[in-house]
Amino acid sequence: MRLRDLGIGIGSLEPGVHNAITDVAGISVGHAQIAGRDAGVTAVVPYPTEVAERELFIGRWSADGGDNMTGLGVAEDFGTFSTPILLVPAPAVGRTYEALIAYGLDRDTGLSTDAGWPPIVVGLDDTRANSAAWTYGAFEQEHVAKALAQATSGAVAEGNAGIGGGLQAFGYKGGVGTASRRVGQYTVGALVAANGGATGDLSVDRYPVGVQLPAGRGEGPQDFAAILATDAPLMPRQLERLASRGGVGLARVGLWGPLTRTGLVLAFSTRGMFPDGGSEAFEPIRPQAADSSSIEVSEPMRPVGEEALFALFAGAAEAAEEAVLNALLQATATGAMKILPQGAWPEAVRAFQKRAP
Amino acid sequence: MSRRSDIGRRAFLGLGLGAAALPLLGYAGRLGAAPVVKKRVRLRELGIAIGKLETGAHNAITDVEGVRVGHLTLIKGEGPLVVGEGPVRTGVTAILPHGGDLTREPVFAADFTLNGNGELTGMGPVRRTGLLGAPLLFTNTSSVGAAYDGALGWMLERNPDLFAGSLQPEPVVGETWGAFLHDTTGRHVKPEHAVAAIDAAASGPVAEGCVGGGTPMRAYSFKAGIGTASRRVPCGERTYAVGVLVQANFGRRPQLLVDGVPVGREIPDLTPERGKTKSMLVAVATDAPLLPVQLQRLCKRVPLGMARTGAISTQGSGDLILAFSTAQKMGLAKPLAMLPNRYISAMYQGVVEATEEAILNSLTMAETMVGRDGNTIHALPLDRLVEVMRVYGRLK
Repeated sequence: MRLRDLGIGIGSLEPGVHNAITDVAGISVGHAQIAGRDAGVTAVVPYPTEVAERELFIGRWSADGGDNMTGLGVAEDFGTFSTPILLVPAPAVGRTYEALIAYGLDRDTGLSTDAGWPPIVVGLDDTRANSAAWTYGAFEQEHVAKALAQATSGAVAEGNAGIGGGLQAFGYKGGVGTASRRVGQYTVGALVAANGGATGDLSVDRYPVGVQLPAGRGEGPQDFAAILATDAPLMPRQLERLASRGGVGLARVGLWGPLTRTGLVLAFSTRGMFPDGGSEAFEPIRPQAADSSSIEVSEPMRPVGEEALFALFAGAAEAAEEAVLNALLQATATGAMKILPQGAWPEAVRAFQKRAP
Repeated sequence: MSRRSDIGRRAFLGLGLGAAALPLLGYAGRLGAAPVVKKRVRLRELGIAIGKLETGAHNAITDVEGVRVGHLTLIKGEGPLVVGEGPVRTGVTAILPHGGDLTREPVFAADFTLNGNGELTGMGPVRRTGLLGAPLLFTNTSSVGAAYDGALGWMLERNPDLFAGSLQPEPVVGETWGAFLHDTTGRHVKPEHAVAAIDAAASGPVAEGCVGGGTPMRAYSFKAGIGTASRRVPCGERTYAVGVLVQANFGRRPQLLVDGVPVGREIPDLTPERGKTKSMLVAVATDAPLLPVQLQRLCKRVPLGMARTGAISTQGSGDLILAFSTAQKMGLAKPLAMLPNRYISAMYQGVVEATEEAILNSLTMAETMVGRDGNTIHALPLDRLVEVMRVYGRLK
């Protein structure tokens, strides 16, 4: 069940068709489980695999200044990336990196600035469900290949899917969730690996749900990762700002709190602002089509001004918050991790939203 | 399921250490047209000294007490490139801040990116906490994942609670691109090679040139690789050590300067047929009690040492620098010490000099190497280097 199935939405903007990060054209998401257990990886593929190579702009926001993330040098210094983004258990980072190098080499033995390098791998703490030693032993590069091969646009599996299998949030079963918002002519989507947070901090559209719930498991991971995507032609600094608004949404729902150890939000734009065909000429930047086989060179891209940017910020915060709640509601109980009790809170939230729209 | 294969560590170690100590005997016959292979020596042994500060006992990063360096070198095959088979010209260089319990007794650290087209994993915990609790590994571009995987296994074996603590250190793995000589696509470095490099880490003299991660690398269109140097830095009543280790893979020939002398313009020949190199990985160690904020300032002086050898940092460069201080483990267990900032300029002097000399040592110690498809990178001819320095009046 997703949040909107309870008659509850977050914020005022309209979601996209699937209310998922895949509402941003060209993006696909794939999951793979490890050895049939509640463990796995999730891949966000930023452009169709038929596209040989594409550099996209990226921005990063970090709750605590440092996260388990590879590919940092290029992402931070150039503000670009070109590989799938993999969310994996921390002990699987090395093998995932290796798998993405293989994926890149399959596409281009040059391995220079293109589809294979540097891989962006985000490690998450799923040791509430899986010991580090087990994951280190059981994880195979094939899991990454499987997640990439299964990546699809359209509806996205949530809850225990992929990296969601081993996550815990607000003392209950966490997981993967997604949501999106339409902002004028653009779309912004979020995919969150909900991991961490304290039961009492859970809040739904500003209504304090957590304090009314029985306390879940007190200890556990305190790291989360979120990916924001948009088709608005944002530059790296603008994407950093967008990412920070993802953090605002995550704070509002209570996932980002005082005890958060690593909280990472990556924001990227699918509108590659790099001239097609390697033209050296100085010409206005034109948008690239999502599908390389039908590049339409249209009007030069106009920069997104501050006003439109702030509308996107609102969408990013709303989508990130709703994605967390979708993760919780879609998750299923595993081992010692129970699902978030429903009880009376949905009705209370609906009543609250009527009183304070 | 263990990730370890059956490949014996000892076999690789033997190969690695042998390669570090000997010229490439297997290629002696193929070097006929190249300059005669002569004994390679360090810059100072040629009568060329950089800067004004004294070096440590070994003029190496290991002059910082406790610091250990190990190489695992993989050299195999010759002839045309066959992906997955070779020729293999690669390896791993491991730097350990100390010989103790690294993951439970981390040291202060900071990093700096001069140009970001590279990889240095594990910067999350370093930036978050200012602490380094992992080995530092240098290898080639396609082997980052394998080296990370091996190092993480090594860490988990020693500390099964690695992910239960608040630090959660991650392996620090950096890379440069060595495809001109090496079958990069074949990804020959396996996790156990990283472990072997870590296990081989020792204090004392450090093998330089075509060893470990530096095996296929080149600088200023000469063969290069690993280089190291150190300085003793007087700070009031105390003298601290600062040491630098580089994996040098950058620079165009005309740029090369040695102690200010335009050696690259004086020796324009012996360039490889093609290819460019760009990147520089640097580890800086000191026993001065520097806090992370000071270590980051120290990192920023490394590019000044690089610039004194002539290179600029290019679009394709992954010029990534990590500095750590061995003075304090964990930092919080005892009252914190901090080098007064009035001494930090002296530390800067030390790190700039040591960086310049480490890069030049990587050049003077590296042997000519033939790799895939017969691709050859020539060593800097030391007799000609000495002659140029003599003409410019810069020999001691």
